[in-house]
Amino acid sequence: MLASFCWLDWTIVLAYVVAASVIGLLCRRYIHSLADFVVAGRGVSTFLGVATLSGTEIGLVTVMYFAEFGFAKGFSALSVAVLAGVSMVFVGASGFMIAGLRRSGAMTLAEYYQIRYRRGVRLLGGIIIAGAGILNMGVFLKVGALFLQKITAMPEIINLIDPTSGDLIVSLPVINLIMTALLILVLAYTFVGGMVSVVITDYLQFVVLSAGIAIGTFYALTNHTVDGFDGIVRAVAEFRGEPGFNPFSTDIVGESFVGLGIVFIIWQAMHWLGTSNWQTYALRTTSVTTSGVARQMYVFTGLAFFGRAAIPMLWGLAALAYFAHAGGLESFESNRLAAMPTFLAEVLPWGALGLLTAGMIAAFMSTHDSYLLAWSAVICQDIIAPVASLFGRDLSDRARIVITRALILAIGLFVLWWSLWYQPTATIWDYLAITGTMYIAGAMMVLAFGLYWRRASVGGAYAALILGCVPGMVYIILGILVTTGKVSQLPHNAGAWAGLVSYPLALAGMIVGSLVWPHRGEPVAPAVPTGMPPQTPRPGEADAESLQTIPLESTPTTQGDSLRPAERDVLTHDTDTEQEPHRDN
Amino acid sequence: MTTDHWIAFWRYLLYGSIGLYFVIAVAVAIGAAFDVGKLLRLLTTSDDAPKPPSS
Repeated sequence: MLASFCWLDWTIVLAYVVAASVIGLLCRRYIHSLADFVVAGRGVSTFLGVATLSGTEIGLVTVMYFAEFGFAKGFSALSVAVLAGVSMVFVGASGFMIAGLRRSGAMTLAEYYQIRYRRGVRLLGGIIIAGAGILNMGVFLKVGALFLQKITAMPEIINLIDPTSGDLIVSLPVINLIMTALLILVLAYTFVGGMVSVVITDYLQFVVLSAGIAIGTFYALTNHTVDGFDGIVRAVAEFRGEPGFNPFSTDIVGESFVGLGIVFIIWQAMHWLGTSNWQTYALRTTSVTTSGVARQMYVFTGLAFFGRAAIPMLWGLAALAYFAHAGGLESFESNRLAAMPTFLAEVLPWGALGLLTAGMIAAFMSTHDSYLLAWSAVICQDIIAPVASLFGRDLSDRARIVITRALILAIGLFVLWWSLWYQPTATIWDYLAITGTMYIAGAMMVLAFGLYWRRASVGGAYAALILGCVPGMVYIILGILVTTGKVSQLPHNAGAWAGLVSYPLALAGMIVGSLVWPHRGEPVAPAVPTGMPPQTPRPGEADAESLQTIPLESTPTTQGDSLRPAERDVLTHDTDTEQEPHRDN
Repeated sequence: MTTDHWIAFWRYLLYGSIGLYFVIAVAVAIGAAFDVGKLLRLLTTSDDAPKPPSS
């Protein structure tokens, strides 16, 4: 029997939304400077860092696309969980890239590009980071709205009827109304409270989200129609075959490409290794108190990331088993995204449905607020401010906060328009991974080689950023042509190939570009901001030599164009100073 | 690896991941409650002066 939202469920959901929004709005009183607004005054400690990073990266869209992926690919989908978790733990344990980024004192990733390379690299990096990031975010609203529509069993269309004549005035798609409402909700407190409200509400959202995940997992595993793990195995064997268990196995069934394959696995391995460059991750890295805290945060978050992917995939697998055993699976094969929320709406009792939905709204809010802030901060700090300084205009803190807030609003409106217009041609995960790769492939090479290779040059950075972006951009454009009917179909596994070639292309661009256009001058100046003593890394930290590889010519501009004097004090205050008495001054 | 091997692997991975997630979630929920207090204390200090260490 289809359970439907009752007054209890709506009360739980509304109580949560009101509480989270009020707390987010109250955080306005803690905003004193740009650093407070964008990186929460660099005061985030380990556990709060894990909560906020997990809260951000376990979004409603995450739950939906991983559930869709589990539903479509069977158990093989779990290989993404393995790659994500192992990569994050490796990055945290080794400090690969993140320790150097935190120690550089940069507030955004592109700001590091200017510290290490040149203002032009920062501009290009900022454009690619923001462009790919906003495209990536473009499907969040639609996916979130679809979940809410399915789980609350709302109708797809609301007809407004003239009460006097009985004529139809207008038909409104419910998903569009939900998208608009969700956007207004998140814009309100991100606009006002910045990173402080994001961090604080992320904590609340992490707690509510975890409770919702526990409820969903319990009912997914104990439902008698699903029949537990063995029931899922039977359904996967019958409807997904060998590629549903072996991630290296692929097949062509009719017109469809089935399975993942080695191309996809290698692409995902590289993708997850470079994910610490993703702006929302990087912003957390630059928001924590020390580089040591950044590493701890990545290790703990990496461990949680196994579950972040595996649990939604389990829900998708359970939905596959449920509809395979109860009937109706065919209707979801063409709309796999709808399978999981429909399944949960059918198996969860009243009250539990409300708690899970509150958890998922929490997941939506925590992701959306962080992404809005991340991309607006990049555009303001890394595109507008450097361009303004080129024309002799140094933007004040106040101006930057105003611009960042205006950008939050503008990005929100763009995302709403893109959600209404764009139709992804493959799974949502394919779309998100390829738009992520457009940015991560080049960004990873520019950051890693900047930290660990003295000869990395401006020419190499430009080449890596451009070449890393091209395959994904071609794939997205071809997808739009398919949507508009100008191209009939993309080749099998086109997304995985586009993603895979992005990394070697970016790598080749960095190496060849640096050798062909070497930088002038000796790279000897340390990467500590002006006025700061050099920092001695903790034992075992991987970035010891990386701080010695900053071109001398870049140090006068280090943070100088984006930070006010008082703010620089705040941003460069690293508590390693107090924790390491043997610092070499 | 045979299909049976894969099934066994995914079974352990799935249950292990779920258990690990909730252990970490509980630990983080408790630890982060204290961190929130530290952060708010840090942010209420003057924004003109370097802020005290929070950990």
